[in-house]
Amino acid sequence: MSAAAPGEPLLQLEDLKVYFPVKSGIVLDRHVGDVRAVDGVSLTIARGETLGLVGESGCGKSTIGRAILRLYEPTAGRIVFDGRDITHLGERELRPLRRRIQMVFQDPFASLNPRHSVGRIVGEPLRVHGLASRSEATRRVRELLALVGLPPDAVGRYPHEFSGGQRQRIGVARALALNPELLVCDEPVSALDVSIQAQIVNLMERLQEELGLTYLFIAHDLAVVRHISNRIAVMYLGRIVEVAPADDLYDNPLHPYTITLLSAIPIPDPEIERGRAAIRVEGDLPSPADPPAACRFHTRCPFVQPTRCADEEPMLRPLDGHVVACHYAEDVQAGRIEPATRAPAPSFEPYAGA
Amino acid sequence: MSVTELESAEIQFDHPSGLWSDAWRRLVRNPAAILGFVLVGLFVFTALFAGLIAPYDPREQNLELLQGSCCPGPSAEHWFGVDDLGRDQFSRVVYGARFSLLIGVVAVTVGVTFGLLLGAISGFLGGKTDTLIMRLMDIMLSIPGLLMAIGIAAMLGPGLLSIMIAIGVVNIPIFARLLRGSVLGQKGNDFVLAARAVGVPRRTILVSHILPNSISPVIVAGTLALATAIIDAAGLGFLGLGPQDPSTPEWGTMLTGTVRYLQTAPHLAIIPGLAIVISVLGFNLIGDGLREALDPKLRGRT
Repeated sequence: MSAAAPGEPLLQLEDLKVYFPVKSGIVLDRHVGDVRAVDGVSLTIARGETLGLVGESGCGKSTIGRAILRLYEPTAGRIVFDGRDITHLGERELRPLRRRIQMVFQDPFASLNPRHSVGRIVGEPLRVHGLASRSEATRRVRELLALVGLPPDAVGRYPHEFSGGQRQRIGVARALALNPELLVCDEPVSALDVSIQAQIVNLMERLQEELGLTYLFIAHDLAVVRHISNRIAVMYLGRIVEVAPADDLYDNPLHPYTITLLSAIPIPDPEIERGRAAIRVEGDLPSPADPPAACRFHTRCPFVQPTRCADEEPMLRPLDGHVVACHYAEDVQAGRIEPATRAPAPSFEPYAGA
Repeated sequence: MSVTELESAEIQFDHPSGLWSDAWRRLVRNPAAILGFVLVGLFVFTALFAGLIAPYDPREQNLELLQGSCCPGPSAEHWFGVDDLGRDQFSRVVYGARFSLLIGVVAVTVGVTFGLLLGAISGFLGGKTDTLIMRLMDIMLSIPGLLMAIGIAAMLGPGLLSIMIAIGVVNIPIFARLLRGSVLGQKGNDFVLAARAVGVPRRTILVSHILPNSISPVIVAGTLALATAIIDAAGLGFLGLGPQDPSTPEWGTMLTGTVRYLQTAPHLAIIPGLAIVISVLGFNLIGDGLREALDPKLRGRT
């Protein structure tokens, strides 16, 4: 399914499922159900590319990232890294792989231990893997700080003395300490100010160029993802609904969910913005503990067609350079199906009469 | 100059500071905490140097002093008067500090050690281990503290050591619960995930990432528990579960011995009582100061 893969696959997810058990009971826990955070996701990330992963909050994109790092146990499916199945490796066998896959976290305030100095935070990976003696580690830490654009005297300081953007740089430095090949970036800029976002995104692009990194870039900010990604995967409620080369996805979205997602981006021109018909999804994201049957998007899809969408599950299939999971993708693309204006929800007009 | 450069120029102005040293700075700026330190300092000093401070042997009886009426009050020779057996009350109170400090420290150490161990295991491992340990702690908590201490002390046989063990055991579930809650809160933090992602061994994660961030409520509770331990010890002593040698100058035991003279010689009860109050107050003030210094929600208000 790789449309624009420049290298051989570095990471493959095969039908990955991550369920979180829901338990209830006072003394003895009973298993009463599962939250299907990730429910059958297959993805390939080629060496050297950046795969963007987008979707609304709660669709399971962070769970995928964490499952790749084996911070969450996969329920089913396979995670193959550089040809090796790492789905069920024990902590000991995982250790050498930890050097090759690292992660940058979303919240730069929560992801750094407030009681450790920056030197200790960035140096910890080196210590844990026995990669450097004390003096070498100090030198390497300074090198890493310089690489991410922090002053060398940051070593002895503590996280609370830094701003959000600087903290995120510290997080990046920690992730780079082990010279990883794959960096899972879990919404690395969404907690930052817009001006700082650009700095971090530029930093990550520069690092990719210098160090030949492969990124899985998880985000919900579509503009940022478009900027940094080669390919983009769109996720909805635990499933991948569309994968396409970045620009192609924006110019020619095929899946109804992608279409609605993109149509939600405001256009910075009031004339066009007022004139265009926004295609909106209705309602809230259904509960991943009890997802809709068949096509998961059919409860909110503006292009939904009677019975088939609710009866038969759409499989991912290649179409026009994309991979898309929709029965009617061709018809939607050709404009044969008009977006239904669903029965308008009783709307609250805050500015009525103003 | 880029934003980064400006920011880095800005942070060079003050000295690096850790959270602990920040907390310490806040603590020493708190006048109530300073008073606490003074009181506790006085208490510890008295306990350590009792032999030098006390003018008489606390066990030495001098029945000649009791001629006339029972228990003469304060005088130049006997600052706090003498008790019903003619022993110098001042010396007894001074030596009593030793016992109270010993009981407090040992009891809290017992409680904190086992409490931390159980709480950390419970919170970190979770699952069945957690359920088992916590239900056990609930059972212990369901028995009123002093009642359980009396039970344990009675079971072990009266004496100084059993008082310390009894009070320590009563404290275990309190610390265990406190630390478990704190560990649970820290366990899901991103920096713990980051440490796991880097491959830090589980034990190291617990010891170097989770515990240092969850220990501060325990420090506060431990300081306050020192105060309660002293009161409880005095209570158990008062109930006759303390040192069985009646000449032992323990504050609680001293109170028991003087109940009968409450109307004729109230100073015999008031003075050990005041000693208890002062030492407990000292620990309480330090505990409150620590709570404020360590609580991130109050940060920046001093």
